[in-house]
Amino acid sequence: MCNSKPLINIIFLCTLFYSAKLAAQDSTAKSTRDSTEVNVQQKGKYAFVLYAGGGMFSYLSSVGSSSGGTGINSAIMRHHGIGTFRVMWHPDHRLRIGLESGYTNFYSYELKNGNKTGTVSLTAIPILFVWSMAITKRLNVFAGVGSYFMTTHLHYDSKVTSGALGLGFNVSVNYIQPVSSKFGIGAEIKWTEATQTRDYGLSAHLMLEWKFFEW
Amino acid sequence: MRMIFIIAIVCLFSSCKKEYKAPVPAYDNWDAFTAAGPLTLSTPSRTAMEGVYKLTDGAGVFGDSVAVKWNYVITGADTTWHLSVFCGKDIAYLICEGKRSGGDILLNGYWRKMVSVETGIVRLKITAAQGADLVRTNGAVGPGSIVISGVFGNGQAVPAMPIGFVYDRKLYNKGPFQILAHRAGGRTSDLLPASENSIAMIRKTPEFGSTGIETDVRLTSDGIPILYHDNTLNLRETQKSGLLGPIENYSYEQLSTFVRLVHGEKIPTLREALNAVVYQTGLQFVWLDTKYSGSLQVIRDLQKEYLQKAAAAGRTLNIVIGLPTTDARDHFLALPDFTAAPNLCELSLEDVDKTNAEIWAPRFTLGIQNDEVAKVHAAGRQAFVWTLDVPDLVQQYLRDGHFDGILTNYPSNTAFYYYVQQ
Amino acid sequence: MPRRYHIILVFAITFLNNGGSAVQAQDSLPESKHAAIVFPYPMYREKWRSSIGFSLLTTPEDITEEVRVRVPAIDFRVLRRLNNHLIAAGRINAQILQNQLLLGLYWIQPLSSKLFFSVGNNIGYWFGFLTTEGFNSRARGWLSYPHASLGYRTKRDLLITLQAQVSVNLAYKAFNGKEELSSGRVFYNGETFTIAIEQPFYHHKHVTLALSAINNYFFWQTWSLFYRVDRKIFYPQITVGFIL
Repeated sequence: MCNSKPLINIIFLCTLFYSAKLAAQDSTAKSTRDSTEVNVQQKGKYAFVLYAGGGMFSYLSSVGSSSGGTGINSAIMRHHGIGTFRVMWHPDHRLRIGLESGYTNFYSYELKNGNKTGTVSLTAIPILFVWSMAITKRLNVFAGVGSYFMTTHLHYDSKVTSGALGLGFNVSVNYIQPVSSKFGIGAEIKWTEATQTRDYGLSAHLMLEWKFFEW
Repeated sequence: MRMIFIIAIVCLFSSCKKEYKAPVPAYDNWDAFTAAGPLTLSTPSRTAMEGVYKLTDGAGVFGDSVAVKWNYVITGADTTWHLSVFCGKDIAYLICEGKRSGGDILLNGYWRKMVSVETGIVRLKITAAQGADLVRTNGAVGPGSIVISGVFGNGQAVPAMPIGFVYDRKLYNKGPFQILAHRAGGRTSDLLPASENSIAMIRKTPEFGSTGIETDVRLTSDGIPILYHDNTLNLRETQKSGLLGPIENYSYEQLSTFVRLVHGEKIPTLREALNAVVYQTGLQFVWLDTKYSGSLQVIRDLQKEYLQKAAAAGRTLNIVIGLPTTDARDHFLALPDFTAAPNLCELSLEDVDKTNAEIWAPRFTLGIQNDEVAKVHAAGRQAFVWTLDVPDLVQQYLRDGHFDGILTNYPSNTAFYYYVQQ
Repeated sequence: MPRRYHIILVFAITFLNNGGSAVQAQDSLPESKHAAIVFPYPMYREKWRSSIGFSLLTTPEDITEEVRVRVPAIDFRVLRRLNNHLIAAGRINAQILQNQLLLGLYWIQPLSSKLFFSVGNNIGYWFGFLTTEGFNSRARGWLSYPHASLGYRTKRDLLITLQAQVSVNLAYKAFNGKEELSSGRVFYNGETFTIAIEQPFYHHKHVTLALSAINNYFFWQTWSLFYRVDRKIFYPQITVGFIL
């Protein structure tokens, strides 16, 4: 059930994040108060921030069955474009919340049955509640849970468009370089998983950040 | 310090979701059985061999007593007989095929516990002196006259642990009682060797002790009635194909081409299922649970057709249209010949009268309801209860209730508690 | 382990590897009052701590089928100081049709200025009722939840807690109509691992975020769907709480 390959990846990722940490600033001024105390007054700036971007998604799960049956194993197209749209509320601490949506095509394939050919593609629109935390000034991690609106597009004899709602989550890390006081541009790596349908994959995005409201 | 936490998190997620499987072990490598000849027993001989047996070995694993019963399945011109042994502990059962070796009867098969995923191979023998001759010659069977003994093992291991049971008395049989298998045999989560609501499951279900089946009927977009339980295509019932959403959105051709059930079978049509019941099994009852909203005419037409075919084939078979909702009831009442259509109503007793139902079938969560069942019996109808799985509840409902049938995901469990009654 | 879950570890790991931050946090003495409900901070100077929030879990589709229990449960917790190390705890998980009340005792021991440990036990009483169409059912039971927690206080304002808990079923009683099914059999019911982070959220409000991996034979929230099987069932659960 549990094999060594994921463990190797975990160790690699740990190393990555330790390196990121070493590259970051780390102030350790000592005092008698910390912000876990109940009566610490801290009020900074609040902001609404929009993240928008697009990139390439790579589907990593499996489709069909190894025991054959429908014969769809060898015909999967796994790489498609992906779009992400996220609105976050930045309060005066590190933890942020927001909503995320977007669009992705998980996979598509073609199936031949005698002299007939059919095509299937599965797309998804996520609606996720997202938490995020700034690890450094420019490196942010996001985790979202919620639902995926999954849509089947089938073309065989007739066209069928059929939808289903499923639970899922995503986890992403982005690096945003500010270009002005309100805008930033960067890159994001995201793991997307529609848990209920066991569809998952990794994507890389170019991201735009826009701090559109501050108070 | 952070590394300690990282290691701890790894441990946390290493206790992750476990995938359970209960594959039927390969039991076809018993040389003596392979070399043995066919076992031909008359129907009276098989019936005489059926009964309640006391365990002399293996009671710690299978319980103190078992119920032994023959069943068959037909494939083309061949009839395959299985001897099923229903146990009192952990919803265990043994399923064996028989052959003759000289004067002895050899029984080869596997066992399974439904409460877990334990399974293994079993090899049994009835020697000539300890019942085989008696059975073959249709002699008088009494306590101690048939001794079945052998070995069983775990998983694929060669069996080596002793198991034995001795004939004690006949099976309880005080009137017709239906042991109905939910979804033709059991659910996907029960880890059976066939998918729920499949032809393979219909053919397997007599081995589990079922005398009848309940199955779920839906319509495709082109009006073909099929067997499928859930509202949508999902990974609980099917292999991943990319087709999602309500099954009614797809035609039968599309489903047949793109979709496979979890064990690789196609989704069967109702016609294929009834054909299998009539011509390939000895099942006596089919409950068609109508899961869609719409006209029931196509179901009614198939019901009539297969009741006639069963009668023509000399089969004892009842096929009822199940009415689980008021919507199904209303569509049933819209049938021009509803008064002549055998049906089973899950709703109130007033609805049972309205639809002229043969059977009232309340959910077990409403209790034993002996007063209501008595009213149903007084009107010349029957009462079934669903879906009863907990062994203590099955015992309780058999002991204290007056139902004429139980729908269950564990027909072997109900079979055991029914047949061992005295 | 499904490979995708190691990505979840990335998420967890990043919370542990807090590098430079825009918020300049400062150290403090543990004798201060602290906004922590899961983290095993001793309550030297407080009498009460409490939080309100919700928990949300999903159930495995192959067992509960199309019923995935997505209704969140209200989660109210309260801690009462007994002495410098001993704390009495109460918790209510409310889901209307089924609810659980827990009472327990924790012993908290600081191991260093950053590392804190607690051990304790909660006794839970749950009850449920379902009297809609086709159901005339009630059930109730008792469970014991011994647990141990290890908390790490980072240099910043982040508190991380790892908790290991086991569940022991003490009693179960169910009614279907007039029929009663009861069991006094005490059995080991499974284990739960939780990782929680607590930190300020906005102004001086603090929030608890927890992710739990529940592996149980019987889980009180699914009492009406099935009793128990001899296989552990995995329930991932998230908990969000606002410390009052």
